[in-house]
Amino acid sequence: MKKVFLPLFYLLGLFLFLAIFITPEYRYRIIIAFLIYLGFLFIVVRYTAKNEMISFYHSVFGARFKSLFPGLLVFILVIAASLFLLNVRQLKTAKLDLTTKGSISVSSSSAKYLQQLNSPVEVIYIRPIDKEDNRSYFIALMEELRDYSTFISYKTLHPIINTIEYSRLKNKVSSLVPGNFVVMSGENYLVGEHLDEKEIVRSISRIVNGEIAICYAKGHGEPELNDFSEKGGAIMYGMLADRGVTLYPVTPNDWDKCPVLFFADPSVDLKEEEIVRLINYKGTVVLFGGVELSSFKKILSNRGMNILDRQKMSFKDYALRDYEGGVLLDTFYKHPLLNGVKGGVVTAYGYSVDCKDCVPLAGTSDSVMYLGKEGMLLFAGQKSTTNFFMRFNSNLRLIYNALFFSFAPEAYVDFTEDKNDGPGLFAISPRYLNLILWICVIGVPLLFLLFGVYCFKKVKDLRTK
Amino acid sequence: MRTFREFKEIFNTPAFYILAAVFLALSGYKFYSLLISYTDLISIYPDYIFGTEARQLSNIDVNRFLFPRLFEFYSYMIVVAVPVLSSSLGYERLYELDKLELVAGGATELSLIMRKLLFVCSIFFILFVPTLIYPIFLSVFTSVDWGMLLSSYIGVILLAFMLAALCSPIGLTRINFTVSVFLNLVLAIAVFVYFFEPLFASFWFGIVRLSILLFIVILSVAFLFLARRLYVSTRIFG
Repeated sequence: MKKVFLPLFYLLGLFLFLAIFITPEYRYRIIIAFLIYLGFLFIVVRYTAKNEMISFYHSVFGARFKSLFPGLLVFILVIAASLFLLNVRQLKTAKLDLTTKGSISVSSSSAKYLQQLNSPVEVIYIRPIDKEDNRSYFIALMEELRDYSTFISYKTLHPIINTIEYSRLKNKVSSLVPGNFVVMSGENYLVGEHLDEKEIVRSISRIVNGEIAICYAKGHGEPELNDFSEKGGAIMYGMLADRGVTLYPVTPNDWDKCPVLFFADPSVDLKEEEIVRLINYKGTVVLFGGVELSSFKKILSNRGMNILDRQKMSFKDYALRDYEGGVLLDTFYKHPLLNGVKGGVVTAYGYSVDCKDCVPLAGTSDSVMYLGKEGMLLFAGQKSTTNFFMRFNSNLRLIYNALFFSFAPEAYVDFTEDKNDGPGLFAISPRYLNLILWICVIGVPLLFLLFGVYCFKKVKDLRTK
Repeated sequence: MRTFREFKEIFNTPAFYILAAVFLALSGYKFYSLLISYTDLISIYPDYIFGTEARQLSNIDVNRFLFPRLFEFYSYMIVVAVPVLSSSLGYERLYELDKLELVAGGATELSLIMRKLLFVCSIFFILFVPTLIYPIFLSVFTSVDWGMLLSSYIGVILLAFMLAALCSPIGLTRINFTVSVFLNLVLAIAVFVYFFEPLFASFWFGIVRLSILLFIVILSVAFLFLARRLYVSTRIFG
């Protein structure tokens, strides 16, 4: 019985010890359990093997231990001092950037913003399971950001290792997926997708400014915010909410109370009094689509924006066959509103717009489809806010930027003037790739092996002589 | 030649060259697969994004994509290799030779330990020299950030040095080789995963921080002195 019980008892101890490291979420509970286990073990050993214990004690804490003890004490003190030094701010910020372009160094806009940050913010990176983990990049980047603000803290979460914490976050942020990051400030949180400095700083600036409440004009055929069908607007609503932008549906009677009024693909004309109300509206109108309607044409014309030709489909037949086709916006002008737009914007079809005193923002190679001026932002692409087109990430980014910028321009960090840190795009021919494979994987190791054979032979010859 | 006894021991072993060739083959394959991943990734951003704006839109720096991942891979290799190398330095034959050297008064305990430590670093230095061919290949197509590379190489050599210092107390105490390797592996992996991995992340991206350098130096010196005390105690108490 004793032979079976003791190994099992020791195994339990080993299991508890390993569990401290394997399950960080229950660490404190397991440490308490482990301490109880150790206490129990001590009592058992004390009463069953007293003599052996005494001799073991003498062997461990004998002359050898006494000779080592002062050294161990100094060692522990030095380790503690080095850990302290690691966190001294003056030493932490002293660094040498060896990169030629300063590719990870914080841009001047971010630095300026972070220096004035005065509320605590935590950034959590959700490590991907099935694709490339950017944990190192995240850590290096966050260390850079922390050089400018002590209010920033960060951590990484693994969806499997830190299951409970991840599930809690996932419950709060439904569109969160591994590879995203979450920015938290108090009870507020929002999710970011592209792990880069600008996106993180932009998210921080968003969260410390509280909720962005946008009035969503309804009653003119706009996508329903709870409709998950292809033509609904639920995905846009959910994704914007996870990024701290809340859409509140409003009727025309409430328009005047709104600082920003968002029209998403209206398909029914405005009434005459609504047109007048909108012409006299003092806030910012963000209009995505709806430019075919005569009422909107009239309002736009009143603001100096004239709708011109319908844009041709720029996709070939096979693309987007399940929809009507598509127009791809591939020309982007330098403007803060296009920060973080990382690819083409896709819309069912669109119109080019003529406006003399507008700022052009984006379009196709021969037309401007996205433009703005004081109190008005117009995107003349159709259906871009519907669930179907929300699958193109840049569409969401375009809407998000437009609403954020219109609502809180003072909180919107402008990165337009910062360095361009992208690569020189290059193409490697398959033949050259094969050459690299052969040389790196076979050639170099083989050469090293031959070098070894040569050295070994030389030594052998010397020994023989 | 007495000073380079460790070198002689390892360079006269065919196993070293075979293991080094395996390391270089793995490293080469990692580089190649990263290059393929990168070319795949940039092909997601199609031709219609043109001109200088494309760089801003795609925002994937080839240097930032390739080298940190490659050096992260090296750091895992180092974490596995250093405990084995460090443990092998305390084994019987070398220990007896060291003892003779100490008796003859040719060296002190600290110099012996330091020599072993530097030897571990030199091994990695030798292994990393052929890997310079990768950036040279890459420089044909794009501008290589040599500063980032320099910082990464400094990082991996420092990591090897620090782990060797960490493993030296166990590696030199003449306990059973397998036990020593196992204990050192557990120590190295635990310390690396929980502590060093985030600490060294800045190196892979071209940033050398003073606080980390100081930490590495102080920690290594502390472990060196602990190793020395253990070494002396092993000699006295057997």
